[in-house]
Amino acid sequence: MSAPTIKLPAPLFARLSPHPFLLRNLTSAADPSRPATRTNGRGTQETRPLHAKASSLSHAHGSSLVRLGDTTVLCGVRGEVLPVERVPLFRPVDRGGVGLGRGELRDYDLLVPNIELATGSAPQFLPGVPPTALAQTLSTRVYSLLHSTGMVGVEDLRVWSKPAGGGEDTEMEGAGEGQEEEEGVKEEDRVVAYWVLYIDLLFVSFDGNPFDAAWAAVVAALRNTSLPVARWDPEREMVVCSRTEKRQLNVKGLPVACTAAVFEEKELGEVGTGVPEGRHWLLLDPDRLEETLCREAITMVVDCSDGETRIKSIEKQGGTAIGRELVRGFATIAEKRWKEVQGAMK
Amino acid sequence: MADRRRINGPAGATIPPVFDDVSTPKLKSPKTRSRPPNTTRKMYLKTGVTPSASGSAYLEIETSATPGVSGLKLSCSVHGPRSLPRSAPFSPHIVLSTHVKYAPFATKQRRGYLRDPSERDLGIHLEAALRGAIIADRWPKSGVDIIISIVEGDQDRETSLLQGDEVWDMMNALGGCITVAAAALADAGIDCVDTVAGGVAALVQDAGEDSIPTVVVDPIPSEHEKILAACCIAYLPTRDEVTNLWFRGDLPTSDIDLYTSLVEKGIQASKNANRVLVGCLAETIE
Amino acid sequence: MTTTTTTTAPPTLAVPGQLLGPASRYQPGPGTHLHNANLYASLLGHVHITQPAQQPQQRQRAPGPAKRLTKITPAPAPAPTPPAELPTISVAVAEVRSSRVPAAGAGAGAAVASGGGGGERKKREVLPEVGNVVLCRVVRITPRQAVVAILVCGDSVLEAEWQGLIRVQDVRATEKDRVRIYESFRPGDVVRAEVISLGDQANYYLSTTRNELGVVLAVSEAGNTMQPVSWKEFRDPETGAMELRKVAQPQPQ
Repeated sequence: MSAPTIKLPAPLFARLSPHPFLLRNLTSAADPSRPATRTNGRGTQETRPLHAKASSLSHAHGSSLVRLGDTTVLCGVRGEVLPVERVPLFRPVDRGGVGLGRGELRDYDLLVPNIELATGSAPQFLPGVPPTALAQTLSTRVYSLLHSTGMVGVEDLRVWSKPAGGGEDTEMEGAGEGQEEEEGVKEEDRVVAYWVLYIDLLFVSFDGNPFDAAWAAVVAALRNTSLPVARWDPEREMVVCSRTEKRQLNVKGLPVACTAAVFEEKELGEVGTGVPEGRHWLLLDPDRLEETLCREAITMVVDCSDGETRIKSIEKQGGTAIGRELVRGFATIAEKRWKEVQGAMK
Repeated sequence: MADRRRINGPAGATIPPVFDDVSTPKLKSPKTRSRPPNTTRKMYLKTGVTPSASGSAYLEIETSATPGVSGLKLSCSVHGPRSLPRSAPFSPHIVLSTHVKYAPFATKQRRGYLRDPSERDLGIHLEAALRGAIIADRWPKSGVDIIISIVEGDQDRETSLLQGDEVWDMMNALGGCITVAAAALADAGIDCVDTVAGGVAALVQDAGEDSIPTVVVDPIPSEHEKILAACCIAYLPTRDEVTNLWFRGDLPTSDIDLYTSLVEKGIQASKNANRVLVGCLAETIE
Repeated sequence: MTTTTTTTAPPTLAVPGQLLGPASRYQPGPGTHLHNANLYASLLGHVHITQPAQQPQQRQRAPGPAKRLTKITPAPAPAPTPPAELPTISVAVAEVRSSRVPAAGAGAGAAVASGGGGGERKKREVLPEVGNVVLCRVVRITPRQAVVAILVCGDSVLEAEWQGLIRVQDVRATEKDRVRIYESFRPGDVVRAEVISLGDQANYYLSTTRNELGVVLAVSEAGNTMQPVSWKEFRDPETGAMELRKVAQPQPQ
């Protein structure tokens, strides 16, 4: 390039033309032997350390605070009671009841995750507007992952009509529609209510990669959740909870999400429908700037808690750069991430 | 109508857990204040919690000695000065917009996702308190958004809902909101004449119906038998000005001294908060 | 605060509302305000005292050939300072804190000095003012004007985007009636311009009449970064195609 070009200090350059800025950072490592660095100083495969802190909120049954670089998420889990009379199309379960399992969780909507981004966590997320498309997508992704991983078992959320000492005539209408009330005497083994877990996530600060942070916060909060021991009070005909007794929620496994974005050499707008040309880089744990410059991203959820790496979910959006090899290689990267996160969750 | 943009949960309404108080021994110890009447609770303030915002701050007021009573936790972010929306009319000074929202898990009762009237009320009082502190004409044609998330409200878990403490809790929340917003504004570099801080004082009746009411600062509703009146004051210490005064309660007009002493105690509480605020800001720039 | 500190030195650090000194000793600078004949800080930051310059400081203008007077301008205010020149006291945030400089050096022949980013402490937000030279990106064009987003004001990167307008009569100084906006700017171009007015409720009015103002970065229709070849043309280095622009004269470094 012989033509006179203007020289700009880095922050100016980043603001004026972010795509070339990131590209230049990735390509202009002084000697080629050194790996490429991103604008945030990290290597392409370098993640930000994750910090998780459990139980900081006293009004929630379980809570966590997860910090991933400058992304900070607060998660509060709160249980509320759903009496079976209020469940439309309730299917009665008995104590030994198997086979329904996960169905109840999903059919009765017992897990309610919601993500709030509009807390001023970043300049583009100001309150007073309905949830953005991103917030809705994130909530739905967390929702479906909660169900597909089966982390929370429905057994923990059932409230039984406890075997009351006298075996008094518990006349609860609605619940079994008479099916179970054949004699109405020995029928302590009935589900009278469910716990519904409201999982609310609040972004305190947003700097990219919201899903990994949100998911880690959900897992940390659920592992920290203890619900009060609930029983059926036949006299008051309602579910009452004990103030002192609490039961820890059983959380199966430790699924960890790992996201990477694909940065292409050609700028977003210009790449038409054709094949991607030029080089591309896989940027692990993208920050806010990088997310706006990448249109392709992959999220893999893995769980290595039983010794073997199991892939729980793979999501990939946009672009055509990620092929079979990359996905396969990504499992190793995700595995490495799992170890890091597992260490942070302790 | 269901909110289609959120995950709504089960169709039937859920009930917050009802606790079995009959079987457990009476937990509630007699209500006593754990601090002298003139002492505010310890406060922890930090700026820069939201790096992506122009300015931000986090405030935590110490959990009081009584177990189960949570302290106030507030997170504030300031965005701006930024350009006004295209539809907005010309403004020769900065346009302040405040937004206060409780997190769904902040209080005993699960909060909804939309702001309720009490949260709007807090926002309006906060705006009034800050407007007096900001040098608005330094920033023509611009706006600033001040957003506070109440991560945890100042509420007692043990007391039942029926006590009507909500009103007094709002006072404490507002006091905290003012202080945390002042820290975030200073962090954002928006010109202010002074650091504004909030303080709360209350008139309480501790020993039965006929006892003589006393004035205390930074009241916790669960520590007092009955709160007759309370006021929240936003005060500029160097200027010696009150930018916002919010009084609630029941006070006879005959006793004007009672009112003045309430305001004075509120100012005193605000001065205490200000010391923490200035200390925190000094730490920020070091 | 009744302490009349007439002899003590001002503090090095200030929080809003802090007394800096009497108005008889200092001139108020940015980040301060005047109240009851005393100067107080209005921002959080470090206190700076600038001694008055020998001659009244003029607004920093880029060196360029002195232009013929084409319009009547008020004579530069003869130093708005009182006769006895006082040092100016101001409060400003420390600029860079814990900046993490990545390893990437400036690329060979690159137009940039890369680096920065990371944990850099942002500077205080500034507003564009009349006379400032700003960098902006063209958002859309109409036959009468180009709508731009102001991104950089002076040396400071703006957090928010402020909208500006370059009207057709403000594009260049000569042959104003022959100016076509589409021959001067295209959406996406980065333009260096001067603020000439605070404008209406939404827009700042900008001008590119001076030689060193105009398009500094442009991308061709083929998607390549172009190079300026004359005062009104850019060339795509790959396809060789020419495109018309109001080109900013490259500044000597």
